[in-house]
Formats: sequence, C-alpha cells, structure tokens
Amino acid sequence: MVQLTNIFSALVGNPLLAQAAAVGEGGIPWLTLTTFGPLLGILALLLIPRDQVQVLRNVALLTSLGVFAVSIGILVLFDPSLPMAAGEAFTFQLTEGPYEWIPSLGVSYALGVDGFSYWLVMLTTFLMPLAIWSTYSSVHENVKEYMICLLFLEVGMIGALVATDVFLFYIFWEVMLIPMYFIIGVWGGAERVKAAATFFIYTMLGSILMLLAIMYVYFQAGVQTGTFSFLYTDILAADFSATEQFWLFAAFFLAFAIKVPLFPFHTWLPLAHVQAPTAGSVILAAVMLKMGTYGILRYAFPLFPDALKTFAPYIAVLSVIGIIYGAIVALVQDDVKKLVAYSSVSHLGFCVLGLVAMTPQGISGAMYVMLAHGIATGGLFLCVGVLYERRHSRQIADFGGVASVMPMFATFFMIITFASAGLPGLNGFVGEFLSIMGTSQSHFLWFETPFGFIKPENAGSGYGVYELSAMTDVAIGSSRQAGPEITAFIFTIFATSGVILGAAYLLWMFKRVMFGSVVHDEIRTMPRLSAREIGVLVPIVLMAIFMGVFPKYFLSRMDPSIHQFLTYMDQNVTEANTVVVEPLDPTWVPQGSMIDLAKERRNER
Amino acid sequence: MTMQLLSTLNTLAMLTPPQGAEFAAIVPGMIVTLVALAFILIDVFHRKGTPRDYLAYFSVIGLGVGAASSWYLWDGTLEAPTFFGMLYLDRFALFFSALACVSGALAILCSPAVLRSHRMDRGEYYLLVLFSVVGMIFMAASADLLSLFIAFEIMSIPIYVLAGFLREDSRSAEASMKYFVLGAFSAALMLYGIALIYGATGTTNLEMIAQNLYYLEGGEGQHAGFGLAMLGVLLIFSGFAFKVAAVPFHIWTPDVYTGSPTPVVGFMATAVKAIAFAGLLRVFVVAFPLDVLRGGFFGYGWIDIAFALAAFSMVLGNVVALLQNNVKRMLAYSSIAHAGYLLLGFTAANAHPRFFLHNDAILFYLVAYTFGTIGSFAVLSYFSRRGESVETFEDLGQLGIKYPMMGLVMGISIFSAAGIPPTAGFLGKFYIFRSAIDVGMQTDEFSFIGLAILGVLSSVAGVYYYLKVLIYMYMKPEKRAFRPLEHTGPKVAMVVCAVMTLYLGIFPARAIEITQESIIDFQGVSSAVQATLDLGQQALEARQAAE
Repeated sequence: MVQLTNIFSALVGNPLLAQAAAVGEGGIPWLTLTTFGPLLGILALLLIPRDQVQVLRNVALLTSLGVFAVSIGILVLFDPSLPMAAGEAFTFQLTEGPYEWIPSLGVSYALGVDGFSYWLVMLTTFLMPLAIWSTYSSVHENVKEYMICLLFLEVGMIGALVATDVFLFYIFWEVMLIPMYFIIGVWGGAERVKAAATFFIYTMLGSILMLLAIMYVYFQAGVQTGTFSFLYTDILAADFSATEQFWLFAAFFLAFAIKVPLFPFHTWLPLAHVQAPTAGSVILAAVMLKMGTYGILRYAFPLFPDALKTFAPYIAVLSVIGIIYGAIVALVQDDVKKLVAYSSVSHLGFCVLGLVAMTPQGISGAMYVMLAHGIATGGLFLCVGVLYERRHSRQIADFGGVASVMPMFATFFMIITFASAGLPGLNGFVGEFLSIMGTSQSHFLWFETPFGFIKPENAGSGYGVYELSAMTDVAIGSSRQAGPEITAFIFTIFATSGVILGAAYLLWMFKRVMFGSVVHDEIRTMPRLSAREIGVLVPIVLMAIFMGVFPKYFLSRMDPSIHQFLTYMDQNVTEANTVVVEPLDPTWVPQGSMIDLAKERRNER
Repeated sequence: MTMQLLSTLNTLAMLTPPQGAEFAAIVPGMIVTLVALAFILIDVFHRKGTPRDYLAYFSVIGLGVGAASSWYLWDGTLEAPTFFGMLYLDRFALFFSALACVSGALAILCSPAVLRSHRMDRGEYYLLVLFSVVGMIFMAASADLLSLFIAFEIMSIPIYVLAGFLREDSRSAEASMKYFVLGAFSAALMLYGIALIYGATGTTNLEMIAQNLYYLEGGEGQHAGFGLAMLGVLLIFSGFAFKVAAVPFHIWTPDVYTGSPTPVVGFMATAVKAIAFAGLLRVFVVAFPLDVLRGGFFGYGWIDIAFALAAFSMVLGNVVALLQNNVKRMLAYSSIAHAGYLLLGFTAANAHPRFFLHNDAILFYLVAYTFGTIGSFAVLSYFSRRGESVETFEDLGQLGIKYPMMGLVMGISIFSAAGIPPTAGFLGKFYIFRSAIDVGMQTDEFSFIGLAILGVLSSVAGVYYYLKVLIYMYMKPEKRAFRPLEHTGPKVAMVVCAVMTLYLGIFPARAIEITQESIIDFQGVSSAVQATLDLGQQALEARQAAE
C-alpha cells in the first residue's frame, strides 16, 4: 500500500503524498481519517444510481456513523493531563505533520487538536448522523446531491477545526461555504435563493479580508523569524506594532463576527436559518456558527493580544446588545424557526461575552455554550422539522394543543426547550452561568467614557492569570479595584436579564405550540413520532441531560487548554502586568474543574 | 556618435545565422505550422458532405505535440537571442507556447459540433486557430519589436476572421467587424509606437533599446529623443492593453464575446490574454527598464499607468458584470476584471527589480484562468445549437439538475473564476494578492496593499454575479428546454478543464515550481533583475536539494 502511494505520488509529482505514505506506517492518522472519511462516502454515493433513494440515504448515514466511530478514537486518545508546552498558546495532540504541501509558499498539511477543538469535532461528528437521519422523510428530490453536500460540509467543518496551518484552515473555512450554499439554495424554502446568496456574500466578504490579513501576518512572521510558513506556531511567533494589531485584529474579527454572528452582523442568519432545510439549519446553528467563536479563540485573540485589550469592551457591548436584542426579537416572532434563529443570536452573545471576559470561567463558559447550544439548538431545529413535516407550517398560530396528540414528542421538545432556556440540570445552564460568572470577575472590560468608569491606577492589565489569583483570594486586598468591576457588573446585569428573556420567549413559544386547546383540526390527525424520529431525538435529549448533570466531564478536559491559553495571553500583553501574580508551574495538571481548584485553595487557607 | 557606433557593433554581433541547437527556438512554432499546412492539403481531398471531425482531432494531436516539444526543450534553453536576434529560447517562451497550444486544443475540441449545427463545418476554421497559435508561440519568444509585431498580427488576424466565422449570424459578423476595426486601430497605434522607439533609439532589438534609452536619459539634460521614446512606450502599452481588455481599452469586449462563436470566445479570452501578457512582460521588462523610465510621464512611470489600469479594470469589470443578463456578456466583463487582477500582479512584481520573481503569480493565474474559463465556455458550447443556444441567465434554468456533469463542470469553473477554494482560481488570486501585499510591506507603500484591498472587495462583487450562474442552474425553474449538442469533444474538454482546475487547486506544488522555473529563466533582463533571478535560482535549487 505504501509502495502504491509512493508510485502514485511519483506519478503526480507531489511530495506530500510520499510523506503521508511514510507516516502511515507509524500510527493511525486519526484526524485525517475523521476529516476525509466523508469523502469515501461521497465516492460511494457517486457510484450509486440516482433513483436508489433509500440506498443513497443509508450509505450517507453509515458514512457519518463511521466518521463518528472514528472520532471516538480522538476522544479516547486525547489526554488532557499531558503537560502543556511552555510559551505556547495551545498544545496540540494527535498531531499529523507538518508535511510540505506547497513548499514554495510555506504551506503545509498539519493537523492537531487541543482541549478546545476536539470537543467541537465531537459535536460535529455526533450531530451529523442525526441530521442525515432526520432528512429521510423531508428530502425527496435530488437526494444524491443533498447527501453529497452534507458529507462535503462535514469535511470542511472538521478540517477547519483540526487544521493547524492557517492556509489549510482558510481552505477548509471557505470549502464549508459551497455545500451550505447549495443546501440552502436548492432544498430551502420559498426565499431560498436570496437567503443562500446573502449567506454566501456576507461570509465571503468577511473571510476575504481575513485572507489579506493572514497574508500580512505571514509575511511579517516570515521577516521576523526568517522562515516563511503558514504553520500556526510559526505565525504566532510574530510581533506586531499597535497599529498593525488594531487593523489585523479588525480584519480577523470581522470575518469571525459575521460567522458567529455578532450583532450587528447577524442579519444573514434569520434569513438563512428560516429558508434552510432542517438538516441544514441543524448543522448551520450547531456547528457552523461555532466556527466563528472558535476562530476568535484560536486566531483573533492569541495573535493580537494588545488589540484585544482595545476592542474587548466594545465587543462586550455588542455581545450584550446581541443577547438582549436577540431575545426581544425572538419574543415577538410568529414563526417558530425564526424564533429559534434569533435565540441563536442571543445565545452566541453569551459565548462571545465569555470569551472577551478573559477569565477561566468566562472561557470555559464560552466553550460550554458552544457545545450546549449546538446540542440544544440542533434539537430545537429537529423538533421544528418534526412539526413542519406534519403541519407544513411553522407559524405558532397554526399550532396549539400538540401535547395532547403527541405526548412523547412533547416530552422531548420540553426537555430540549428547557435545555436551551438554561434550566439548571440541563446543558444550557452550565455554559451561561459560567460565562456570566466569568464576566462578573473580568477586570478589564472597562473603557473611558464621558460618564466615568475611569481606569484605576493599577487595574489588571494582564488577562487570565491575574483573575485566577484574584479568584483564589491570593492577591485580594491590595489589587482588587472597584472601577472595572462596576463595568463588569453592568455587563453581568444585562446578560443575566437576557437569560430571563430567554426563558420567556422559549417557554411562551412552547406553551402556545404544545399546550392549550386544539384549535385546528389538522392537529388532531398529526401522526405520532415514528421510530426514526425517536431515534433522532433521544440522543439529543440524553446528551442535554448528561451535559447538564456531569459538566465536569467536559470542563476538566478543557481546563488545561484554558489555563495555557490565558497564561499565554497574560505573558504576551505588551504592557507590564502591574499586579503581582502567583508564578505558574508549567507542568501544572488540574485535578478537577477550575471551580474545584478555587475551592481547594480556599480550604487550604 | 558613440551610441550609434556601439549599437551598430552590437547589431553586427547579433546578425549571425542560427546554428545547431539554436534551431530549437522555432521547433514548437514549426510543428504547429506544419500541421496547419498539412491541413490545407488534406482539406482538398475531403469528400463533400462528410463531417470534418477528424481535422479537429488531428489538430488537437498536433497542438499536443507542440506543447510536448516545449517540454522536451525545457532543459535546453539559450541565454542570448537567436535567429538574427529575433527570438529567445527560454523557459518563459516555452511556458507560453505550451499554454497557447493547450488553450487552442481545448477550444478546438469544443468546436466541431457547434460548427456543424451552424452549417459551417469548414476546414478553414481549424487552420485559422492553428495559425493564430503559431503567432502566439512566436510572440512569446520575440526578442525584437519587429518579430513581435509580426507575431502579434499573425495571432490577431485569424481571430478577427474566427469571430465572424458564423457568417449567417448577423451578430457574429458584427463582432468580427468591431473587433477588426478596433483591433487594427490598436495595432496601428502599436506600430506607431514601435516607429517612435526606432526613431529615438535607432534599433528595434529589445535589449539594445534598453541600452540606448539609458544613454538617451543621461541624467538631467535629457536627449530630445527621450520624449519621443516615452510616447512610443505609451502607444505600445495601449496596444497590449487593448489585447488584454483592460479599461479603458475594453469597449470591444462585450460585443465581440457575445457575437463570436462560443469556442472562439473561449480561445480569445484565454490564449490571447495570456500571450498579450507574455508580450507585455517581455517588452516592458527587457526594453523599458523602470530604473531608466521611472518618472518619464510627467513624474509617473509606466508602472503607475499599469497601476491605474488595474484599479479601473477590477472595479469596472466587476461592477458592470453585476448588471448583465447575458451569460457571455457577463463573462466578457468578468474577463475585464481578470485582466485587472493580472495587471495588479504585473504592477506589484515589476515595481522594483527585487520583486521580479513575483511574476510567477501572473503565470499561475493565467494557467488557472485558462482552465477555468475554457471549462465554462465548453459548457456553453455544448448548448449552443443554431437558433437555440443558451444565452441569458434564464436559459440556464435547471440545467445543472438535468445535466449533472455539465452542472458540476460549470460549478467548478465558476468557483474557480470567483476564487473560492479548493480550485485553481483561488490559488491564483491568493498568489496575486500575496505578491501585492509583500511588495506593499517591503516598500512601505500602502498603495499596493490598498490596491489589494480594492481587488478583494471587487472580487466579492464578482462572487455575486458568478453565483447567479449557479442560482439559475440549480435553483430557478426551467424556462425552455435545450437540446445539447451530443458530441464527445466538448465533454473531453470539460473533463480536462474541471480535473485540472481541481488538481491545480489541491496539488499546486509542481505547477508553481514550473512557473517559478519559467520566470527564473527569463532572458534579456537588466543586471539588477538578473541578480534577483540568480537569488531565485539559488533558492529553488536549495529547495529541490532539500526534497
């Protein structure tokens, strides 16, 4: 096999394949298998005739299940207790490469996962089979192309998450657009063409400016270090002046903010969500939006730590506006799907707020919101799909009293709705709580305005490490200042009110759709959930409960990465940190979640 | 006096007949010429009423041999011009002769069915394409303004005829007439420019023009001839700008693209543009070095003119393409925009001798553009039956669903043209913008980065109209049914284009190496550029040794 690959690579004249073949002897390339596994399914689909609809569906489902099975390998093999590389922002495991891909440009094929990305990979591979399974009854035309699009989308999403070469990341990032464009545009609702074009152009506008910024960063890093390379670690080694950081951060952040979408860049989202078919909405909300927040965390923040200090309060303001605005607009929607779409704007606001808070709780909260929102909103879209297939309407007014006809569906829908609304014990609560808590402890979400909030003399100019020590009461007293916390507190108040609004619009929607007396006769004849639909919804419900009850399982595996990230951010801010910080042991291994650690240290005192 | 003596001596030194290996300089051109001449004989014996498909296949084979001969000559290039100082034999010329052959072959593959359906199945068609390719091959190799101009005309005149080949179609005749009148005008301008250069420098040899311009410029007190030379430079530039369809010399493009036979448009849009860029590079790099001519035009150099043309072409091409509802017209405006991107690369790479290696971006872009564009024109050719050809966006309705293969090829071509990964077009754009950013950063001139930003923003506008093609092909209802021209030729061309577009987008390493080798072997440059080329040679060898 290796020889075959060698011969092939000699034929096509590409060194990459030869290197890949050489590595194949060592270990199993888990990440490559996960990323390009769906391509095998696509090849199989291409060979199956178009009219064998059921075979096409089954092959696609089996492929995505196979990819999920392979990705379990990542979950098992990823070892969060491995020591973190000192002076780096992230420590990648299961790395593959770097293999030279385009040597003259310094582009390589390099994959790796850390505590952030492997959870998102798991989320993707977990939801993909469910999304494909949900299309069995909803898509009947051009099934072959639809399945190819979905699997191709999976390649793009996983690839963007595991790429550790910026160029490779960008390729996957753009590749995601193509299948999603067709999914919305061909299989979508009445206004699908407009929705698809808007989605494509918006995302393209942001990402192409990011491409220019990537090139700038690449050249700057090349000039400074002497090696022109797109490898993430090489790019991270570059230093930038304040002006450069400002503009580069703006270019990167705009691309990611459009994808998130952060208010006021969210206008494409309700359109795309409402018009997309169910599986498209599920993937769009659950995974593609997370690409934005993931990109912020992975690229925009660590590359430009100084610019983040400038932008953070403004980003926080936008997130809070997004939280409240999304919730209020969701409150007045007549269309269930649109309501869920606006709820995404609101929920992702918590995520970005947690990120810019730059505290351990904030980051872990943001990560948890990403996962929980993926599960809960994916579930909500699936539920809306179930309703739509029966009633061919998404208007809230067309429903009412569904619970009496479909009791089991009502239970699932209720659990998922509560999960999205953030009921304690379900997954939504953990993330939102941690984000809000992290925000309240943030020490640099301040900015000078005519109304006050003046920077105190020695407010923390660093990021997370200071917050960690403040949280564990090590540096309390001399360093804790009143100024910034007032702003952080104001952000917290607004964000918390967003939670209340979130409960309001979701529960009100649930009441109007599921309870009350049956007004429309069509409701009475609605069939109960089929076995397939139960099979689609049960994993989501179980996962929502599991994530709500055992958050530690997830959080403790992220914590080392969060800790390393914050340490890196703290060390790379140009201004000297004025607060005495407890020195960190680079080989520090967490015993539990960050919260447990804080409790332990308090008890020791 | 000294100057004239020197130039005479140089001229004498160059007036030597070719010997031995130097005959290789005309091999690719001669192969294609012989094939074309053979066709004249073959066509005499053609039995009336039978299809002439075999001519198409023979010419594809002939062009394939022509392209292959470039490959065999790759390691046997010469440092000095040969054939009495008329031709270079360097990898740059070989690269473009191969590109012209490939583009011609792909266009010919699309042709037979279209011609038959228009009842114009004539042997002259293939002959004209082949002769045009001959002109292209010699133009890329020219070392003298005279050989350049003759090659330029050998390339152009067949295309004027080809544009009007469907003579029963009034739009085709109109296209031919417009193209001919405007093209002849631009050729006249170019010839006038050549005459002025000759008057000022006393020579038509590119390298000697550079030397003599250096004497003419002569510090503060410029020779009166310098002004003449500058006017000549401007006129020659406008001649090239016409061929590449850069704003404001683009007026002919939409009408000619709409009226001409579709395969011819594919050929015209790719090969002519590519070769015009080859000629532009050769003439301006060799004969008009910037360190001599910088500031010649009231404080501006030709590089600034190219800069302005790049900006106008990118913006105008993309914006006006938004408003079109005829697919070929849209592609015409988009080709203007592509000329803008290429001029952006040209400006950045030639702004200073030390950036000369960045010209490989232009070469790669042209390859990517050739395959992407011919791919989309092959799909359009497949649906250009007489009287019922696909013309407007509405005509494309549901084609992608009804003909999945056509849809796939069109999709790949369109994504490539729009610059979306993993296609070759993305890498081409990436490469072009990369060189602009690099130059902007190294010279601290924000203008280049600004131009790159303008370029990417206008390419977002481009994405919008390219998507319109896909929207109609997949998402809009069918307006009327079209019967495709069932023929293998266009299908083969489509598969080749689609596969190459994806291959160059995913595994570009070897292709990039080839473009770099072509640029490093560029002959006739000044010593400053040669120093850059030597550095590039060392870097390339070091990298190849490391592998």
